[in-house]
Amino acid sequence: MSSRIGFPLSFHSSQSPASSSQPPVFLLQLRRFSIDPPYPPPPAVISATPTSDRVSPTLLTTVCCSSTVATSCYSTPLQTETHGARRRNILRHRNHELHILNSSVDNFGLIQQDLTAKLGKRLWVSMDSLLGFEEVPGENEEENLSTYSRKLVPWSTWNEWLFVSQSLFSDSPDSVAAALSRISTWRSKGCLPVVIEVTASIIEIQQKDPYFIKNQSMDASVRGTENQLNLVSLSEEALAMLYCMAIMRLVNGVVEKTRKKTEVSIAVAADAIGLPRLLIDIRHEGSHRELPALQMVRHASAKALCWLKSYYWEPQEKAIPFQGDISTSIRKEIKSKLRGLAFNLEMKQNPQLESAVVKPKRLKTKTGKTLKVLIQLYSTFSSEFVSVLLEFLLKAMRSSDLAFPKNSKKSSSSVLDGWKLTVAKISNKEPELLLDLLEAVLEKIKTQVALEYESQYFLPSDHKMESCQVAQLSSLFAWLVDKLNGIKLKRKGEVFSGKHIPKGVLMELLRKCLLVSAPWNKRLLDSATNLAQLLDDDSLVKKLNKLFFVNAPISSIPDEENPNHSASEDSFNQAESLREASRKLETIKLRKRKNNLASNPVDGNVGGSSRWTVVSSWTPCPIGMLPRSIGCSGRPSVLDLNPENEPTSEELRSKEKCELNNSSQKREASSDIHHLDNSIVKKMKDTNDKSQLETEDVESPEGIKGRLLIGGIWKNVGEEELSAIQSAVRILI
Amino acid sequence: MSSFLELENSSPNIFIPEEWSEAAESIVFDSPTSPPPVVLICGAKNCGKSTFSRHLLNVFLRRYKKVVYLDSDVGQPEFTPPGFLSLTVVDRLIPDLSTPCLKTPERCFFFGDISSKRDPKAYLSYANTLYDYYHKEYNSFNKTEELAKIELPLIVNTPGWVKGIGYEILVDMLKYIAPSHVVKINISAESKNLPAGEFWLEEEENYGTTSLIEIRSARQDEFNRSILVQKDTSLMRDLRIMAYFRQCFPRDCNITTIKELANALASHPPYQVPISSIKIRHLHCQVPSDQIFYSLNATIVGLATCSNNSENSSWCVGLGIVRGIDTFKGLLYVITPVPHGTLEKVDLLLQGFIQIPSCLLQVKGCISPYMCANILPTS
Repeated sequence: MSSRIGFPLSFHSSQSPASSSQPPVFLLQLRRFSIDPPYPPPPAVISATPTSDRVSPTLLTTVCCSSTVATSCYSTPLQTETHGARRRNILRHRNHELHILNSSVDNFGLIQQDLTAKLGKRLWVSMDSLLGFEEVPGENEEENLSTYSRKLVPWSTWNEWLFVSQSLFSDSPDSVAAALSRISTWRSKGCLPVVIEVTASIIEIQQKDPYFIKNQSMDASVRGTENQLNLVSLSEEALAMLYCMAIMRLVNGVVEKTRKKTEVSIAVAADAIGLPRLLIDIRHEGSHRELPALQMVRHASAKALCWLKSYYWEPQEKAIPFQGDISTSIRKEIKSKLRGLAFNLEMKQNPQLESAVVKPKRLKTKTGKTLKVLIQLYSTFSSEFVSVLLEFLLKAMRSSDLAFPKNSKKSSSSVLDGWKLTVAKISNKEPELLLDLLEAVLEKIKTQVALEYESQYFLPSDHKMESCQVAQLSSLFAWLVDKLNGIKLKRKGEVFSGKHIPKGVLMELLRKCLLVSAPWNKRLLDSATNLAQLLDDDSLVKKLNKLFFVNAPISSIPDEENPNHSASEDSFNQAESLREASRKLETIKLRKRKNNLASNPVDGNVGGSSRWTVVSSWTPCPIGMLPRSIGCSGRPSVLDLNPENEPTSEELRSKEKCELNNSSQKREASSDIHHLDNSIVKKMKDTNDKSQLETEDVESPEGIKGRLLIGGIWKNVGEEELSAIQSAVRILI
Repeated sequence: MSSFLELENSSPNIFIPEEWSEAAESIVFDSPTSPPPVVLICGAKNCGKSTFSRHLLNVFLRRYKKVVYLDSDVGQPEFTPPGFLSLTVVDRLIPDLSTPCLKTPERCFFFGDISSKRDPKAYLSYANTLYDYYHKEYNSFNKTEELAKIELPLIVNTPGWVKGIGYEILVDMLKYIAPSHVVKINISAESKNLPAGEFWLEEEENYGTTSLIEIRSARQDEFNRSILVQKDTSLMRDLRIMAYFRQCFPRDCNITTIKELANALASHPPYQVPISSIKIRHLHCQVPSDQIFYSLNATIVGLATCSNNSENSSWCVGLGIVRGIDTFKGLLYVITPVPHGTLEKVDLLLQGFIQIPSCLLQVKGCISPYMCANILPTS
C-alpha cells in the first residue's frame, strides 16, 4: 500500500549502498554482469512475501507488457527455443530499455556521473528483484490485472462517451453535429478507437448525402433545406468514393485488429467477427476494380452502421460499470462492508461474546479480509466511502448523545467506540482517510452552519438541535485531528508519523477549519491549534493564538451550553465585547492597509511580467484533473470553452456565502448593511436595471466584476470599501 | 563476423567495424577545416545511422572543440524526446554509443509526430531552417565580418524512411543542404537500400562537391529483426519521454522506478499560465474551436514562441504536459522541465500526436480519468 499523498518514501534495499563516486564504466560492467543470470529463475518462484509492498504495480505492468511484446517478437523466429532461453531473452530485452531510460536521464546536459552510478544502480536493483519474481505480491495480482486492462482513451468519463454515443445515433442533426465535433476533438488526441472513427466518418458522409438529408428534412424541414443548400455540390461519384473509402477503412481497420495471423484471409477473419460479406466485397471492388455504385455503397453504409452498433457501441455501453445507479450500489457495498468490520472489531473487544460465535483465529482472518476490501473500495470510491463512513459516525454520535444526555457525557456508547476503532483500523492502512474525513467534517459543519442561519431565521426552535450537531461534528473533528497527530506507521522500514503529511495539505485544512469555525466554537479552534502544532510552525501557532485572543472576548458570549444567562448581563457583555472588538479591528485594518501597500497583488500573481508561475501549493492529483484541497483523488475540470454563464454566478454566490460565513451571523449582516449603503457605497447608475434581478439570474459576468450585491442592488466596490464593509460587519456583530 | 553489433543486449561494447572507423577518420581528418565538413548520414531503417553518427561525433571531437548535430529523425531523435527536429552543439564525448541521451538543443522545432509523413512540407521547412541557422552561425564564410564566430562541422542524421515520400524528402534535404560528405549505409537486403551512387543528383549535374562514402551495415547478418525493432521503438519513445520529464526533479531526487516518476509527476507543483496569454495550435489536426480544452487536457505539448514573421517557424523550447485546465480561473497547469527563464518567452502551445506514456497516467490511487477500464477488447 503506497501512500497517495506523497509521503516521503525511500526505496530500501540491502543491495543498494550506492556510492556516489563510482565511475560509470565500472557500473556498466557491474550492470552487465547481472544482466545475464546463468540460470533464469524458474517461474515457480512467484510467491507472496511480506515485503511485497515494494513492487510497483505500474512497473510490473510495464514488465508484463514488455515481456509479452518480447515473447511475441521472439516467438516467430525462435520458436524452437526452450522456455528458459526465451526468458533470458525477455530479461535482456527489458534491461536494454531500462538502460536507455537510465542513460537518457543521466546524460542530460551537464551530467554528474555520480548520479549515473546512483540512479542506474538503484533502478537496476529494483529491476533485479522484480525480474527475479521474488516480490510479486499475491494479493496485488487482481489489482495488477485491472491496471493492465486499462487503456488510454480520449474521453475522460463514461458520461462523455455516452453523450457521444447517444447523440451520434439520434435523429436531431444538431446532436449528431455535436457528437461528430466531439469525435473530431478526440481524434486530435491520437488514441481514438478505430470503430469510433469509422462510425463518425460514415455518419458524416451520410450527412452530406441528399438521400439521407431528404429523410431528415421530413422531420426537421427547416434545417433540412438549409443543409441541402450547402451540400448540393457533391457529385454522386464523389459521394460513392467517400462511402467506399470509409468502408475500406472499416474493414481494414477492424479486421487487422482481430486477424492475428496473416495466413487467415480477410474474408475468413471478417466472418469470424460477423462483419457483413457485402462490406468485404465493396472493399475488394473499390480497391481493385470499378468503383461500386452509389446505391450499393449507400446501402452498405447503413449495414456497416448497424454492424458497428452491434459490434462496438451497444456491447461497450453494457460493459460500462455501475451505470446509472453507480453511487447507490457502491454505497450499499461500502455500508455492508463497514458494518461487517465494525461488528468484527466489536467482537474482538468483547471476548466473552466472541468465543460464543466464532473462533478467534477465523475472526482475525475475516477482519483482515474485510479491511482489505474496504481499502480497495476507498481507493476507488473515496468520496462515497467517506460520506458513508461519516454518516455512520454521526449516527453513532447522535444515538450516544440521546442515550446519555449531556451531563453524563463520560459514559460514551460502545457503538461509537466501535466506529472509532473502525476508523482507526482503516486509517492505519490508509492515513489519508483521516484527511478526507476531516475535510468532509468541515464541509458538513459549513453546510450545517449555513442551515442553522436559515433555520434560526425562520424556526428559532430548531436552533438548538442544529448547533448540537455542529458541536458533535466539532468534537469528531477534534478526535480526528488527535488521531492524525498520533498516527504512526511502519512503512518500508521507516516510521512514519503525522509530521510526514505534506504541509500544503495541512495548511489547507487549517485554513478551511478557521474559515468555518465560529469564534465561540472552542473545540474547533483548539483543533486548529493542534493542526498548527502538527505543522511544526511556531510562528503559525503564535499567530493563531493572537487570532484567538482577538476572538476571546467574543467567545465569552454564551453559547448553547449555558443559555440561561440574565438578559442584562448578556447585553452588557455584548456591548463591552463589541467595543473591544471594534478597537482591535481598527488596528488590524490599519495594518492590513499598510501591508497591502507594501506588497501588491499577493494572490493569483497573474499580472505583471511573469506569465508562467509555479503554483505555490499543489495537492497531488491525477493528470487531467484539478486538485482537490485535500486528498489526491482530484476533481474533473470543466472543459467547455464558455463555462462562464452559469458557473460564474455560482462562484459568485459561493464567494458571497463565504464572506457571510466569515462574518458569522447572516441576519445582522444583511439587515444592517443598509446603513452602510449611503456612507460607503456609491450607487451604480448603469446597474439599476439589474437590481431587479436575483443573484441567480445574473447573466453577464463581466457586469458584476468588482461589485457587491447589497440590498439587492449591484454596487461598485473598491478594495478599501470592501475592507470597510467587512470590518463594519464585524463590528455589528 | 567479428564486427557484430548486438543491439538487443544493452551492453555498451559496440564494435565499430574497421570500415566504419576508416570512413569516420577520413571524413574528420582528410577534410579542410574551413569551410568545415558537413556530413549527412543516410540509409534504411535500423542500419546503424545513429550509431555511426555517434561514433563520428566522437571522432570529430578529437579535432574540434565542438560539433553541431542536426537531427531530423523525429521518430528516434538523438538528444531530444520524439517529435523534434533539433540542432545541438555538442562539446563532450558520448560515453555510451548504444543509447541516445538527452541534451538541450540550441534550436529546435516541434514537429509533433514520429514520422515526417504527416506533413512533409512542414518537416522539410523545419530541417531547412535549422540548416540555415547552422550555416549562418557556424559556417559563415565571411570571416572579416564575424571574427568571433568559430566554424564548426555539422553532422546531419536522417530518418530511415527511404522509400516513397520518405525518399523524396531525403533527396530534397540533400539538395538543400548540399553536404560535403554523404555517408550511405547499406544493408544486405538490396531492395531496402537507397539507390546506388549519388542518387540525389539530377542527370548532368556537377559532381565533385560532395564525396559519397558507402559503408555496410554492421548488422547485416542479422535476420528477421525488423519486427523486434518496431515493437521496441514505441517503448523506447515512452522511455525517452519519461526520461525527459524526469528532469523536472533534481538529480539527487530519489526517483528510481517508473511508478515513482509517475507518482512524483502527479504531485509535482506545475506551472500555471493564464489561458488568455497563450495560443494553442494543433499541428496536424482540426479541432473545433469550442473544444480546444477537451483536446488539450492531459496531453503532451511543444512549448514554443510565436514568431512574428511566419506561421510555420516557431522555435520550440521543450515539452510540457498539460496536466489540468481550470476554465473558471482561466489557468492552464503545465508540467515541464524547461527552466523558468526560458519558459517566460513561451506563448504558444503546439499539440501534436506525441502521446503521453500511459504508465505516467496510472499512479495508484491517482489514476488519470483518461486511463479507462472496461474497454471492449475489440475496440
